[in-house]
Amino acid sequence: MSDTNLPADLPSNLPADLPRDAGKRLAELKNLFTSDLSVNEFLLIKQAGFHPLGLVMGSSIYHTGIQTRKWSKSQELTKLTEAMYNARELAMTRMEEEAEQLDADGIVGVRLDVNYYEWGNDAAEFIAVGTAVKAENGVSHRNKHGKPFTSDLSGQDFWTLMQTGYVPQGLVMGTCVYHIAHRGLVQTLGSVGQNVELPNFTQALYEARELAMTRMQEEAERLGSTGIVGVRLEEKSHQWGSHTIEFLSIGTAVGDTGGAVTLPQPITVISLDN
Amino acid sequence: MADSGIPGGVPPDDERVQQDQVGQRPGEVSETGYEGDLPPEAAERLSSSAWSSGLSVNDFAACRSMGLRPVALVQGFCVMGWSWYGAGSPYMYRPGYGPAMGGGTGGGFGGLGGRLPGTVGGGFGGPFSGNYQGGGGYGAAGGSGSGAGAYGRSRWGSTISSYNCPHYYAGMDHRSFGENFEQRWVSDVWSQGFNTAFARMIEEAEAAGAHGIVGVVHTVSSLIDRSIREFHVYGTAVAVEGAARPPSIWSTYLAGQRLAKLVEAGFTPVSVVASIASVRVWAVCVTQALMAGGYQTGGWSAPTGEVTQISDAQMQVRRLVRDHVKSQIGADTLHGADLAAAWRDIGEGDYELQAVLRGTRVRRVRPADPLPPPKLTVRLV
Amino acid sequence: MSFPGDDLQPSESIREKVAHMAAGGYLAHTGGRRGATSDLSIDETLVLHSVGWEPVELVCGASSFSIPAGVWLWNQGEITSASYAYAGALARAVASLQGECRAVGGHGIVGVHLEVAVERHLVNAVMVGSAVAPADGSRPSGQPFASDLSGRDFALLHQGGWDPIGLAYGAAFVNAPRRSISVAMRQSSQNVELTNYTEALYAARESAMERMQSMAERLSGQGVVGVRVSEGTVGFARHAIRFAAWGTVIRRSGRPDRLGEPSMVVSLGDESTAFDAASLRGG
Repeated sequence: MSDTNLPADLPSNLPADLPRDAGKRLAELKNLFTSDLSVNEFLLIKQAGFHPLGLVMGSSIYHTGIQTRKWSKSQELTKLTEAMYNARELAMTRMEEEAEQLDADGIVGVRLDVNYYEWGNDAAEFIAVGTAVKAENGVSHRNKHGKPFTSDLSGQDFWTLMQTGYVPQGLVMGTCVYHIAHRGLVQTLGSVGQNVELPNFTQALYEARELAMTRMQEEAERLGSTGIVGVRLEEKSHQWGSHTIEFLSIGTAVGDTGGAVTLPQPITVISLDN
Repeated sequence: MADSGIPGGVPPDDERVQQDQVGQRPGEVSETGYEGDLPPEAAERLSSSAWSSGLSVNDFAACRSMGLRPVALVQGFCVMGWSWYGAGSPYMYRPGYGPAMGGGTGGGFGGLGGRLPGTVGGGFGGPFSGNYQGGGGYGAAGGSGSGAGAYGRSRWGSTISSYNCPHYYAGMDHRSFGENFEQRWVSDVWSQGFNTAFARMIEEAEAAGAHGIVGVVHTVSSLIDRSIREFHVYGTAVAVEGAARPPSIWSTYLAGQRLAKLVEAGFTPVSVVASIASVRVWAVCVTQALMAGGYQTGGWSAPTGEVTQISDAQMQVRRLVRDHVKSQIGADTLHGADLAAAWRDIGEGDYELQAVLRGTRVRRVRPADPLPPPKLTVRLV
Repeated sequence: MSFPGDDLQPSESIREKVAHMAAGGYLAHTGGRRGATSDLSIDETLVLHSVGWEPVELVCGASSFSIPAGVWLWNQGEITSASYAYAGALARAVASLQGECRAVGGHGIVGVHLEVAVERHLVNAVMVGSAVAPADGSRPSGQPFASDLSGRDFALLHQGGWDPIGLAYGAAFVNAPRRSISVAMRQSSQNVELTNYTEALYAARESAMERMQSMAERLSGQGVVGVRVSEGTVGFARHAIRFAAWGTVIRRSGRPDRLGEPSMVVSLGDESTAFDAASLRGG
């Protein structure tokens, strides 16, 4: 189970077709920008030399297939992993397409959500929303693949990151849906009354997280990044029951601009208010 | 209606009140005209040498740095009867109709009947009597044209806006007249309950030798019975070391740092202020039809669009409560206002809207000294 | 962000002020030139004052629109009457909010709380906020602005050379598409994107945003900040999905940017956060 390959058919199966409505809305965004940034974030983005262009989003409603799990076997459910990955990738790609339509350099404050609806059996909606930005001095900040960078950093984090001489290159993620074996009767009886480590569980949870993180790192390497900041590790059972868990690892890959950096000295304050 | 959003507000610690000891009545302390009607237990508790406080540690620290010393957790309590138009209520419209069933709306519509043009009033007696005890009164008062005089709408409310049927149609089920009216009895009873509880809290603070009360919390609950409202106002009484006995005691919902900022900004808290307004909606045919999806018995339909009677009521109830509060604060400022409203279905085409507004009445005692304008900073946590 | 008052240390002078207050010194004063009401926190009041503005009055706006019967049947496409009622209720509520603001001489409303309830036959929109005006008493020119930004955000924008000019919003109600049983059967074990679903929801979300955008353009704004997108199913009709987007429209004020370069601060408090006005409102 050390196969860390990403779902193979990624770039090919992504549609380049945004709904007509999306094109219409973006075409109307000329002298106006929209943004879900707070005022603080908006002003800091401006201070960092960027201008918000518009709110961009992508979504995909995805039906996840069925995969049989063995009751007593711990294993990755590759079909579900693939589904979760593909669906998010679809949503993110569409968001990037919207950003390209606005001729953006990147997208900040990206949020990834999963919605379940009552009418959609086994289907979930994956949404990506963020604010497309463009550098005011005309220098391109696109990533190695010529695509707008994506990042889930807040305006404050974005500004601070730029001060340190790094630039965001892309939101990278890795996921792994894992089925954790139920304990057999004999095992359970064997450990009754003993508080001992349960090595099978340890190993399963360990491996699942490692897989998710490795995949994320591989994505970052493909972007030629120096590192990943703000990594979050999320565990969700979605609608599969307690023994099937998705481990999602997500963060912003950053690259070093190589320029000389003089970081301002932070000021310490004690706030009495809370 | 439990308002406990103020940090530092904790439920009063009743265990500390020794029920079996009889203390002295603090009746003598009253210089402000309040009757000394605190329970003896309160005086006993307040005369204890240990102080209690509902303040958080931060608020406590901020109070100390301002020179305020907490002296006691003080409270005032008042239970009011809250029967709609039941027998014995001063708002009852006519003897013999109460206690009314189903919320007892009879009295209300007796007054309403008086507003009706005599020509259509007669047609109303029948259909409503099934729903409301007071239905008969509705018709009768309407029929006589001026029947409300003796029982005066002013006794239970006053019309704010009225709505007439555009259909020139008077059927049995057809509501050809509607109005929004203020239910004054609600604000009267509520104010009486709140003010009495408040006055008792002030009295407790006086007994404790305080100068002011910070971090006030008030709740209005209905724990015992729906026909009863319990008003509870409590806070931490504070004193200024070495200061003379105050001519009056100030109170505020604020505590700690925010109080310090308020004082630094040139304000002084005067008192906590709270009021309620209640607007009753008696829907005209068009409103009633729109609320039911556009259709009315008889097959006619109303065009969809704004339901002006409801929009009006939503505005009226908020404006009324603001006016009530403004009439209490004079030229002072209401700081940190909190406006909450609730909607209630009483019956078919009969609704009530209530709004409560509360805040701290503050007075400017010195001109504001503007602080430097804000700067952008990024916090590294 | 650092704000006026954040670093306010209780001074020696505050003890004098408090002692004066304890002695009933305030009883000799008569209050301001007019009684103001506001739901702003003391921090917001201070920060507004630091840029030369002050609260005038707590103002509200409300409107109810009806939704005709039969609208919530599971059909296809957008539920236009619901979208219409939603937009109508918001528009009328903003209008009465502005009316109240004009009546008290305010230049605009900050911190607007927006509450919209969708019932089977009724959309109720209520807005409450504080009307504000420059402290120099100048007369308002033109339509008062409405904004859901806090007093702090208003002051920051003001310093940064931007003005809020109004609220922009858009909403769309759509029916969830249906899958035929045969299609559902075929797809039941597959990983597959349900493209018709994606398109239906995508389109609805885009039209909510587009409506918001065109509203911002009608106000001749240069941007919309703090956009919030809310979505979910309607409680009593689960096949109906509601999308709403709203934010504050801003425009360059022509004043220079006086914010300057941001400075980094390290806070020494445990989780020290600025005071949140919502806690005063019981939230």
